[in-house]
Amino acid sequence: MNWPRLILGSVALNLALVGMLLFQTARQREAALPETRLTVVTNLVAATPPEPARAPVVQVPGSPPFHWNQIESTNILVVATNLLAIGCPAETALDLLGARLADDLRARVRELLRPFNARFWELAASNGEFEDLVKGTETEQTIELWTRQHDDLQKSLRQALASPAEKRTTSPRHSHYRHLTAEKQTQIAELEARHEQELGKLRPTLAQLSANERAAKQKELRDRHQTERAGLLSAEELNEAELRRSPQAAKVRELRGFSTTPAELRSLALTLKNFDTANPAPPRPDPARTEDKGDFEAKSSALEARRRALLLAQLGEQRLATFERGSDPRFHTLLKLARRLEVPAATASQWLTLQTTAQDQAARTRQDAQLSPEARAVALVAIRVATEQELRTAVGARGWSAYQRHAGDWLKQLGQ
Amino acid sequence: MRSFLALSLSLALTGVLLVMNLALLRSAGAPAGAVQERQAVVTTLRPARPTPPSELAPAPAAAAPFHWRTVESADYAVYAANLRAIGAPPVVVRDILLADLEKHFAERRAALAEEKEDTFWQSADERDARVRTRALQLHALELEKRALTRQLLGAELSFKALQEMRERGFAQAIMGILLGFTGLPQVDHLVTVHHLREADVNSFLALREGILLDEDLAALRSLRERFEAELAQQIVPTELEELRCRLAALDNLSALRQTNGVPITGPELREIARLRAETRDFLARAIQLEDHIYSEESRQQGDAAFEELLRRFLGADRYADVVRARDQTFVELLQSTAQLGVPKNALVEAHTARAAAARQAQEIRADEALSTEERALLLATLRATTTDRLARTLGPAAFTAYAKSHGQSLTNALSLPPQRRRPAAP
Repeated sequence: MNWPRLILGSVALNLALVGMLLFQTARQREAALPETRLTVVTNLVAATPPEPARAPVVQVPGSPPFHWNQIESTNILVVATNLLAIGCPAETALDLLGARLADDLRARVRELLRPFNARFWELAASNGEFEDLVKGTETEQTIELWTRQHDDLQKSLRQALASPAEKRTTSPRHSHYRHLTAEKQTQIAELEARHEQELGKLRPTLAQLSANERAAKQKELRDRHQTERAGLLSAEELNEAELRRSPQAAKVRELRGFSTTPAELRSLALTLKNFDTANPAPPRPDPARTEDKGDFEAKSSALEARRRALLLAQLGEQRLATFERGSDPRFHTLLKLARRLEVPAATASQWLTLQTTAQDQAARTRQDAQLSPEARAVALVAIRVATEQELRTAVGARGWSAYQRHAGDWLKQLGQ
Repeated sequence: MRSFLALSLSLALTGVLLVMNLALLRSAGAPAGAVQERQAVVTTLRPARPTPPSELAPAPAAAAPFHWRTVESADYAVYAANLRAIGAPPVVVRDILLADLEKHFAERRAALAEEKEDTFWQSADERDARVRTRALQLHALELEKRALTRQLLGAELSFKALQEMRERGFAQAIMGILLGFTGLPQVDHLVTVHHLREADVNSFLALREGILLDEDLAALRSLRERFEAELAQQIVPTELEELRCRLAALDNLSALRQTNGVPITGPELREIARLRAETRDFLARAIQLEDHIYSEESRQQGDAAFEELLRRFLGADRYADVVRARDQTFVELLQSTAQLGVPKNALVEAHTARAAAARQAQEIRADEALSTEERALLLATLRATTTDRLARTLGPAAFTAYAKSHGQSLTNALSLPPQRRRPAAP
């Protein structure tokens, strides 16, 4: 056997098989690779610098974003329609477009008045009434025309926006009727609004009537209104309303520095009202008839004394004094000053006592027939100086100027 | 033996290679792999910038619908930002937000004012305390509104000032003439500042119940200075002076006009107004501060100084014209006879006679030594002589014209006061 030739042939076959194996492997790898599709997506990321105090992040909806220009127009009614179309509330649209209309009118009127502006001082010197500068001129007519046009446009705008012409609310409930139920208070408010309207309609007619006819007509209306009002209320409710409307209620409600309860205040008003109803004030005398003056004063004093006695019985001496002081306007001012100076309310009472004492003393000095004019003048100045010193100490340095400004006029007259 | 072993190994290798080749041939007939999708994302970074409105393309018909509710917000800052984001011009943002804020705060004010209980018989002291508390609350509310307005709109603005400027008709025309020396934005500024500072004064006084201590006066003086400084922010000094002069003319110089018998030119009136503005603080007056920061004495000194300056400026004769023009009875005489060519000296004489008669009537009425009947008789005589004198001085036609317009006031001035009707006896 030729062994070397057989071995060589076998190695060559092996080499051929290795080559085939490599070829096939390469082919199979290619065939095994899957098909790949590459898509490139561009993603835009906005880098926003940090803004610490800025308003919140805003995202404008729509694609592309909505812009205000899209609803603008030279025709204001078109703008109104556009605003409604994007859901803007009618009230907001009216705020915006009403203002725009008014600003437009204003700018036009201003332009129209430019010639007057240039001649301002000349016109002011010749006439002075600025209203008269325009009245009766062509400018006035133009302004009136533009104003009418503006009003018409405003009306159309309201219609386009379906907005009510004017919000008329029922007038606020009056404190005289606060004792009533909410429903009755509303009824009274509506009734009073109607009465007011009736009176408004009647006014032009009243002007054409004689004084007597006018008075009769007004009384008739008043009585009818009163009857209608009474018809809504029970007797008790009506009495309370009448008491609350009375001048006596007004008086006791203005008492300051007078500690009381609502029940006592009401009771005082009722006492005074009943007294005044039973004891009418004497008629005021004719100013031309001086002889009637004394009689009137005597009757008034007597009436006042009886009223005081009644209050004394109800309040006692000390509280009556507080009551009388409480309705003194001088005391009201002093109380405010005391509050500003952060001192107790009793301090205001001391200041008032000092004032009253000094004024009484000055009045006695003025009436003292034994004093010569010179001696009287000296005495009055002395009272003033002493009082001023005493008051300055009582009020204190911080409040003294304020006292003089707001409550010190009487000091100037004290020495006269 | 060795050759046999080598041949055996080679043949074994051939077998292995044959098997491998066969296996590969079999796998080459299998189906190809599924197509794979691969995606790559490329990210681009750039700073965001607001796009100017003009560069915006109009919205296509198919664009997503925009609704106002995406702009509106309960938070005013968001609302304002959203409005700006959709390109609303500043004036639109202002008009929407100011009106909205005003309503919002009006509701809150009304809620403060509302009294739920019947407090009618509460004492005045309790009522005063309540009023003081409410004044404080209202003040706090006002400050809140202003701060919010400033935050949203970048400036102190007043809805009421805008409303006042938007008033229709002659009030607007008159304001237009008075403030016609400057531009419209400046007018807006002047009126706004006036409104705000006047409101500050009122609030200041209300919180102090009208009682001012010395430290309050200092604060009010500062407020006055602030008012002037703020006015000056938007108008030049010459305009500020013009404003002062016009305020003086409007407030105090109404008698100085040709129709009142004062022969005066425009430039002269302007100069007089300047003198007046130097002797009285019309800016303080404009915001109701004058009476608080100037004593009555200093105001009187200012008035006296002006009278002296006016007398020097006009000279004695024309100053006398001004003095007469300030008297309503002279103006009545002048204007009722204006078309009838009455000489000036006749008018002056008639006025002197009329004034003397009025003084005499006053003395008769005050004379307690006289009875009512005697007073009536003396006054009737005085009426007759005065009427006769006026008729002779003015001439019949002019006197008739005067009597037609002002005869009743002449009679009243020279008569007893009208008698009060006595009530009928019960």
